[in-house]
Amino acid sequence: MTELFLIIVSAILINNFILTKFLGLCPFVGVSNQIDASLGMGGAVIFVMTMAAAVAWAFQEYVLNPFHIGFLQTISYILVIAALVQFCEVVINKVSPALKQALGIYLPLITTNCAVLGVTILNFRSNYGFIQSVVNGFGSGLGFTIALLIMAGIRERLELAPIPTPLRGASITFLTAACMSLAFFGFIGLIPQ
Amino acid sequence: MIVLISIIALAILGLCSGLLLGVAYVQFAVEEDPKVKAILAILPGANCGSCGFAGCHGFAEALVAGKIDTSGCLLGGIDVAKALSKEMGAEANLKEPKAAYLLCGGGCQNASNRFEYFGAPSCKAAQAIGGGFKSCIYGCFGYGDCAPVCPVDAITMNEEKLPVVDVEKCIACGKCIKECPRDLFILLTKNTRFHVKCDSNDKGAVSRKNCKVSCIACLLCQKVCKFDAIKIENNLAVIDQTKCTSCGECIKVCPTKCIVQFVKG
Repeated sequence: MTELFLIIVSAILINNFILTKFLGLCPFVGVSNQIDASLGMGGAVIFVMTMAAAVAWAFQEYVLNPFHIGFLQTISYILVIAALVQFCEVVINKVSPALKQALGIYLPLITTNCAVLGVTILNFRSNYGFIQSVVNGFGSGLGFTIALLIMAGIRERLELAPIPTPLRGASITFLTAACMSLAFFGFIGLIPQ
Repeated sequence: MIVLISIIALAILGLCSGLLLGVAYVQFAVEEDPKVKAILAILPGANCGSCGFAGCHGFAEALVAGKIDTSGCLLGGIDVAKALSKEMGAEANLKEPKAAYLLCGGGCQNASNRFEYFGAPSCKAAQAIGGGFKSCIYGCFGYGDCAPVCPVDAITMNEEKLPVVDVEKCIACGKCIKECPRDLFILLTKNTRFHVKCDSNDKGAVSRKNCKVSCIACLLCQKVCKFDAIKIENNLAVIDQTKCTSCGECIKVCPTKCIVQFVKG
């Protein structure tokens, strides 16, 4: 139990996908204008990462390993995750219109987003079992959401701030992201290696 | 050998994914109302949101559900409303097209300031500091928060730092009304010829001190109007557009020239 808790904390704070591993930067910059949108995006990422971690683990364990074709990992993960996300979208569309309203427009956007692919490959490299993989996927999604929410909060306030002209727009966003990344760097000592 | 295995494995994987998705699309197909599709084909498809729904698809669903009538698409105007009415088999409820009009004429040359403002160049920020830097607590700040929210670029800022609405372009979506911290826009029909360019409820003496072109509630226009179309309410002249005949007498007597005339084109 302690180990799973550590995995979650580490995925959120120490190995935060955006701020420490620099994966999934396009949604991080693209959908961080408003808190509402980033909440929807975060929910979709949590959902997809958890599902992808589970399916990719099973695929690795029952297909890639027995046939010794581990070098096909990246391409087959992409295929599997893309199919999974599309499938989920179709099912959600039918089963729960409310969930579709909340996540619907974001799901196709993150079909094999690099962060989603990253979480599955890192799970494999860390030799995680099934439960650990799923927990790590969930925690990574949570970390992604938190980074996105912080960014959205800052950017909503930046709208009204008197920013020097050359720094307006994308450059102030990147500077903010860099400062956030530095701040998260401080969490590295939280868990002794 | 290993090449063969990998090719076969990927082929099978692709096939399985394809089959799964194919089955899912058939099995979980959501039946969409054919009427929604037909309506979507008529709509402009700009997804501007000025109807109040999330894009054209939202409008189409609302129209089928009867939540809005066929003239709801502001961007499409009369043509789209007619086409929609034909599709829905309903009588077209054609409204007079409207446009946004500004209720202030006090630009930086005519209206005085209470204090110098050096904050963010935004009307909302200016309003938040001491209730605004302008002497007139009703007047336009001129930072143009309204211009960028206009979906059809109908608002431009003139040299007096006042927004000017291109009446022909305006689709009366009301976004500028929501954006303005001082509620200085109103929707009037596009054939409006005369309107009072002031929103000040201050007494005449105060208004005159604050701004050279404010309504000072002198009652001259009310007296001169033969059609009973102008009334002074709360120290402000208000034109009843249903009674106004565009005779132009009020413009001639107004001492501060706060009643303005629109010339078409």
